[in-house]
Amino acid sequence: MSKRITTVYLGPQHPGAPGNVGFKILLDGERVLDIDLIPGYLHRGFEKMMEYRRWDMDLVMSARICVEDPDHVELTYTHAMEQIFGIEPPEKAQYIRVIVAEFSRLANHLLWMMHFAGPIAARYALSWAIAAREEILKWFDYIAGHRIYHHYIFPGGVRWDIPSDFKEKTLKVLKIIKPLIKDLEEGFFKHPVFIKRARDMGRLKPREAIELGATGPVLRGSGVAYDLRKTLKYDAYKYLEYEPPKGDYGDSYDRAIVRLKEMYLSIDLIKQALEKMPYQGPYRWRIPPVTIPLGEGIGRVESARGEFVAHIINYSSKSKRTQTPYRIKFRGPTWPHLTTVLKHIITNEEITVADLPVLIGSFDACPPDIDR
Amino acid sequence: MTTISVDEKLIEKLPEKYRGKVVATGTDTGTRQELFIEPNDLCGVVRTVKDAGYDHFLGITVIDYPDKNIFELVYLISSINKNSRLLAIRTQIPRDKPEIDSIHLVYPLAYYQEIEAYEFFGVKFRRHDGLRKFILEDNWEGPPPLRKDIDTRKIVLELYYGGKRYERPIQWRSLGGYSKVKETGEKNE
Repeated sequence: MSKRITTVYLGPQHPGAPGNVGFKILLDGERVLDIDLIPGYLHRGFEKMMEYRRWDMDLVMSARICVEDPDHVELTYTHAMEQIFGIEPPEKAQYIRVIVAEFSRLANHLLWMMHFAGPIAARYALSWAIAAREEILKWFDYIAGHRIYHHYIFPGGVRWDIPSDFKEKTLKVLKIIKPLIKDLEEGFFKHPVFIKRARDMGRLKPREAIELGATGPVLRGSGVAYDLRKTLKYDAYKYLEYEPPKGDYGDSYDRAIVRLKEMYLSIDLIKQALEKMPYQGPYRWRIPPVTIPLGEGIGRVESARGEFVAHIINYSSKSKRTQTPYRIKFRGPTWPHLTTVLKHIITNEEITVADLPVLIGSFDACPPDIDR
Repeated sequence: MTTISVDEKLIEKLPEKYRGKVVATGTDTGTRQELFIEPNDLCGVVRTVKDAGYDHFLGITVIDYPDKNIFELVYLISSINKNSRLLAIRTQIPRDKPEIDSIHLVYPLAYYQEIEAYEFFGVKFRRHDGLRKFILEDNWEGPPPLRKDIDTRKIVLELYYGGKRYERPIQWRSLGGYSKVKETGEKNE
């Protein structure tokens, strides 16, 4: 039998591709030999556009970088901007930020079922997850006035004060979504089809994961306990007690289980923050609305997918305050996952075409943060 | 505020030339160590930095300064084991001959970050075999768009819309900050 090597293009419209991104794959029969990323389908030139807009407009734009997890992008931008302004948010705002960020992580992990359960053909899991996510979107509508992009986290604190029935309403949302996540655990994460498809597939060893630049649940799934919430202790995470979950073998199964455990952890963190937060006091320090001082800030946040970095430089040759930042650079967690990590696994392990969407899904890729 | 200090172990490993040059700076959420180096020493310094435990490469930020005629490259490197400490290695290269060594053999992720720096700023990386359009493939024809003296909006209107804006001739005065870019090469401040 003669060997035939074929080139196949996967995505950007393929249901197995994680949206807005294409892959060029080299096939030998069913086995994938090599994979190349084709990004750029959602390139909007954000970094250039931000150089022409005021800093508060840039905050609104920054959320658009990743649709599924917008609050963490806002949080990185906010941290970098706060370093330039030289301010720290009030304690109440720090707790509200943690609650908003954890809800964003929950919503993101629930939507991730679309990328992961879809290729396994467990569409029921996806619809259950969307039902739980809907409650979170309603909660966001209640607190910020928007469902998808909230612009709620703001340099100096948060944009609006919390409503008077905040605690009861938030606890009610958690009470609704916790059984739904429990259903997912029993209906999907213990299902033999999921275990068979994800076990021993796409193994990433801890040393390799660090070397290739993986972060977030992908790195923790390989057994490296690296979590910026724990190490940088930004915002109110320093007041809370928790242990980030980690896997031990590093295959797709471990990465999925880490995400499931993180959903429970998020619920726990929100409950802790609701207990400990002060309900009185200021929610935002006022900062000058038009101009920004010269300086530099690097915001780093543990987003739902991994480490998100915003590097903002403000410079002027006339050394006076400016309206627009000089340069903004975002580094999303999807960069290593879809380039170095994916290529490494494909070239070192026997991955078939049927396994490829499950493998890509297990990274929870968000290609817009590559394109920007 | 936490106390900001310099990593002693890192300084021991650095070449003698740079031992006293590491500066710790930043606030609570953004503490970082900064090191300014000559562009030709990049490969050697990066190797020693990796030996000292800074194994987590984040990315390269390129900043264009047309008034000083330089590109500044900031290599952001963090550490998994040392409490995610951040090290920013800064270097400057001339704007008219933007060339620097590639570090993708030390940090594999740098391969893709260098492609990004190449397509958006035109910085050439020596010993890099894959410099090409990556994100901008089929998206952009013209000079590297993130350079400060490139007015991307003007190029887009002329290239794709036949020099018209909303099917009417462009009135540069109505474009706010962009008209100043066109006249003076500086942003509206």
